Amino acid sequence: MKMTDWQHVKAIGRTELRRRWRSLQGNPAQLVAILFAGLFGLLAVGVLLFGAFIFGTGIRTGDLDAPIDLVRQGVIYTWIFVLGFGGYRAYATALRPDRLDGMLTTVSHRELLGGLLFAEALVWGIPGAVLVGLCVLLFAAGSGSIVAAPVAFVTIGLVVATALTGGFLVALVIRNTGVRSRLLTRLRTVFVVVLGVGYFWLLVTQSFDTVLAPVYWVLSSTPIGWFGDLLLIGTVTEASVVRAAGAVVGSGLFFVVSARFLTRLAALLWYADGVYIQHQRTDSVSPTASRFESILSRPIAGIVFRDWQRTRRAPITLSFAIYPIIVLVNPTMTAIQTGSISRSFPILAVLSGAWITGALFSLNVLGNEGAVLPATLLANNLGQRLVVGHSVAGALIGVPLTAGATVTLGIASPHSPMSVITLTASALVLTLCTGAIASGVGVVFPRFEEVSVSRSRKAIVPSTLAFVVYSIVLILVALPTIIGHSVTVGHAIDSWLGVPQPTLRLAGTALSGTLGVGFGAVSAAYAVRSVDGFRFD
Amino acid sequence: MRDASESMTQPTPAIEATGLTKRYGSTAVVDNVDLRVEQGAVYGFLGPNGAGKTTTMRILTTLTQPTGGEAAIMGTSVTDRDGVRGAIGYVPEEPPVFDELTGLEQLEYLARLRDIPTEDANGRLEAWLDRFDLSDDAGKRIEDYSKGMRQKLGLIQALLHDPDVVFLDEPTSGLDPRAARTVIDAISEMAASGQTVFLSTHILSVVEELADIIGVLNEGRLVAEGTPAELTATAERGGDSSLEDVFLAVTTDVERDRQ
Repeated sequence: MKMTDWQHVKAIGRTELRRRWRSLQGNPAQLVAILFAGLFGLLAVGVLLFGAFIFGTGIRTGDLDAPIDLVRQGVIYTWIFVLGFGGYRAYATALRPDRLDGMLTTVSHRELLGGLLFAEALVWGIPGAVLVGLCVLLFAAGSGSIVAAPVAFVTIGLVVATALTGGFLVALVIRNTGVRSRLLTRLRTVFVVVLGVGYFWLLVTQSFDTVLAPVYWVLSSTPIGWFGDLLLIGTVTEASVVRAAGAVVGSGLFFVVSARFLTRLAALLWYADGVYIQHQRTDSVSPTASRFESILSRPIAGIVFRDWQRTRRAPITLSFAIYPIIVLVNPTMTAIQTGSISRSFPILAVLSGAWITGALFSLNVLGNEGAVLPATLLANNLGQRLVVGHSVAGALIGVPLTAGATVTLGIASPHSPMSVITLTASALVLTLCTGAIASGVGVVFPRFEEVSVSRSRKAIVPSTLAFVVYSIVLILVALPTIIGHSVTVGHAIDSWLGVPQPTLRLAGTALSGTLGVGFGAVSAAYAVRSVDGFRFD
Repeated sequence: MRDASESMTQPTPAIEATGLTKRYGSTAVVDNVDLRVEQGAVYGFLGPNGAGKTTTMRILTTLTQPTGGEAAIMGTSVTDRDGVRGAIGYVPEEPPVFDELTGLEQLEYLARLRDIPTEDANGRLEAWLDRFDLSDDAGKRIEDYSKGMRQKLGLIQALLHDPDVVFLDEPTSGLDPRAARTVIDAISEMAASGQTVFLSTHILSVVEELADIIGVLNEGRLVAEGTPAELTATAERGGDSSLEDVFLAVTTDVERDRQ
């Protein structure tokens, strides 16, 4: 590398860090999150340091059986973890430079890549080096071998560096494939969902071993497995000098080869044209649209189709609708682990379904219009059309899905048939009302401008405050249904007030329905009035 | 013999493209375009939305490779990115500036990346900031800049290293009349000092005022090229034809032929 190249790499890396720091300063929520993560991290650091000392002591006293196998195992799993972490960092943020065109007409892609890697190395390398330094010192103190400290430090450095480089390579291959494959571009969301479901499945079924065991078996006979020998060289006699040397030489070769691949792949990605998808312009109305237009008015059918189309093209705008799924994680895990549906599952399905339905399209009826708002405001009966249109767009998806899930889960659960009926009635009423409830909240806390939903993607999404307030109102409305169908609360009320559980379930559904309709009507009326009375300052 | 000696003394064109083509699948976004822009000229590049202007600029600035034909900047092929980079300055429609930096930091950063010695850079920055009325705001974060201020900053950073060819994509878009005038004057001065300007814009009056040669691109094809006077003369609408008449005529003819 020429001197000027290195100067450029340093300048890019330093500027990247400065920008990240300033961006972080302007985002107190992220700062607090990092602080909390740091506090929890301190606990892990304490355990790690203590573990390093105990491990060293175990080797010295001979209390550990076959420490070399243990270290190989630890090294391989650490390598896989760091590879995954590096790959994720590279895919999500590290290799997505801002103002790419400007940078590539100023410096070479090699310098840009070097600068980004330099920034990553400083962000993670400095604290990492301090932590590893302390660990190896304690390990050396425990093992009673001075040479263990530098050897272990170098080994861990090589493990982390090779894994990060490998992760970056994997991420670049994936992104290069993504930008060139028409199929991957069109089905990106499906692939992400499949990956997420797969990960979730491994998590709840605790079958990570099934995936990792063959990977471990393969890696154990490569230089990655030999890092275990390198780490314990001079500390235990079982460590093979030949394998340790193989690990060092293998690392060197890997760095030389991967440097060429990294720059080549970065150039392929950054100069890529990307997949050119020509969206078909259809002047004729689709058969489905015609059917809707025969039921709904044309403007409302238009809003419904636009909502669905925008979602299909930019699913990220529905990021808020994902949060309510959290309430289903626990009962789903229980169902997978025990093979039976818990009593709470259909109740939570009602809550989650109704919550999501309102959050889909109705939480930002004004702001959603974006740049076309001035033109949209010229339409007649705009308030009514927007509120009804967005609510219908959500309800057409949410009502059948929530009702279907409630009936299916209810039948499979210990709920009585009567209980399933009242729960389904709640599901129907609540999912029909939530769009109206969300509309009113959304006009109180609108968001008109695009926000960064990821480092490289901007979109108009509802405001956080709108989502929080809507969630509180929705939970209040759904609470009578939840309480009415809860066995514990039902028994308590039955024994205390003498109200039988079937009556309680019916009352819960009726009260939730009344609250839903009441809040919905007031909220929708407020939204309609606000939209119709909206004026630009 | 005479021809050969003439060609030896002829200066290298600042921009030269032959049969330049860019296809995405079966769609030709740039279709067999020939260009020759002499050094020191201002080339006005016109065309309706989606005509292929930005793609042509991206090819000429090495950001994308052509699928057919050849292009060279100051005699260096656009496939030689390292060779072309130092000779060009590029201001895309959205100026490539970082919101988190101050205006001065942004320019110092670019000066470092362009290998301009610090003392030299300081003098140039001071002059440019003063010229574009940005001296008082140089210490402010760019996130607080207006569109016009960003545009001016983008222009300064594209000119810092004194490039041979400057590519400007809609340089006056969104600027108030005073700021637009500053930019137009700066472009005139660039041309006067021998720099070549490749100017893509929708604002016909800007092209009319600045361009030595105008090229009109429509559906990827160069449908008209010439000096402003030549183009208005060939519009065949009498003596009072304007550039707008020419633009509408050549882009409408192609549309009609297609139908």
